Amino acid sequence: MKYYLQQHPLSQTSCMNNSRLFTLQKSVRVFFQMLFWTPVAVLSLLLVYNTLPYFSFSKDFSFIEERSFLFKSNFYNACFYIHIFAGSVCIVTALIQFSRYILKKTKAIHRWSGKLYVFVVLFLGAPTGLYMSFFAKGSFWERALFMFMAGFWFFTTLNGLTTIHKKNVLAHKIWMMRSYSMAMTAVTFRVYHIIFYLMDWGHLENYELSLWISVIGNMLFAEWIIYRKSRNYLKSFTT
Amino acid sequence: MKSILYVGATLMIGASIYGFVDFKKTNHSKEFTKMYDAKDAPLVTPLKKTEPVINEKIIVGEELRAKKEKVIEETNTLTSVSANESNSEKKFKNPKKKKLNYKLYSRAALEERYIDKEVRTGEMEKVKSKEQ
Repeated sequence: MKYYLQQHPLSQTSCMNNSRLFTLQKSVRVFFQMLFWTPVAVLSLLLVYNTLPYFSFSKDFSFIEERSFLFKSNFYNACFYIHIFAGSVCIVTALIQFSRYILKKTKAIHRWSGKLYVFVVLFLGAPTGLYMSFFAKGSFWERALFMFMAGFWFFTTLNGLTTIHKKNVLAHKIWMMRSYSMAMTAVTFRVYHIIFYLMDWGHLENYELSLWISVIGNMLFAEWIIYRKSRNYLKSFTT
Repeated sequence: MKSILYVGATLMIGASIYGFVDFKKTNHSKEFTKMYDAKDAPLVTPLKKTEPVINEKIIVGEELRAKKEKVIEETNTLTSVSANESNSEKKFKNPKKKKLNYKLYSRAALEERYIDKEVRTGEMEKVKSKEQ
């Protein structure tokens, strides 16, 4: 570097300007990443915190009271608790999966956390979610949406697993982003639910609209991120 | 890898079949169809206060002295809380200011009766944890 600058004295100032610009660009990128990940992490952990009391297996919760008829069935009970356990594990493990720092320092954490996420989604979260979707709140379309969510979550997670087995890292990232967008509908739904509640919407309309916006909004956001990052967007749908 | 796919696919197909069968069984029951319907919140009618009633009792026991006893009775009439009242009756609802609480961050219905319960259970848990 010193030899180069001695040979090319004019480039010394331009090098300094370029490095400052580079630092500024990096800081802006880090700032926007923090702006995204901080509320995501906080809301995800709040979701897990609010889920923990359910594991007292008490029926004294409004969610359970509203569906008291369904909770008379032992199978529905079992599916519900497995689903909330799976969802909590998914949310927590997925938070660390997108960290480049962890991936660089210890790949083992990323791999084991990823295996846990895949196992929980494919064998616990998606099947129980699919069963419970038949009894979901709302009309036929809301139930169909929940069924679609379960299937899409399963499909994208499975594709994320198969692509990394084939050593296709880019495809793995793309499919896992889509899978994470489905997992995050639980978080974004609750945000919209509260917003529409504060705007005095009726509870059923609030629930339905929040559901549709959270699913479609998350999917569109994930596709936008993938579109920005990929050279050939349409090829991202092939494994 | 294939085993993961087969097990996962089996679970998903099993869940969909089982869910469909259970749905067909419960679809006809009224309890299931009306489970998510909006229920009327318990109505509270205002307290009615009557004027104090003064009963004067004049005891005429002795001829020379007349004693007056004032009995003051206050009566408050409270109307009972009824869940389903007809539309012809006047309804009075206490408008509540909506407060943000971390307990609202859930999939549960954000109806007044459920919110009060959630907030109260949350406060009770806090009190219990402090006592411990």
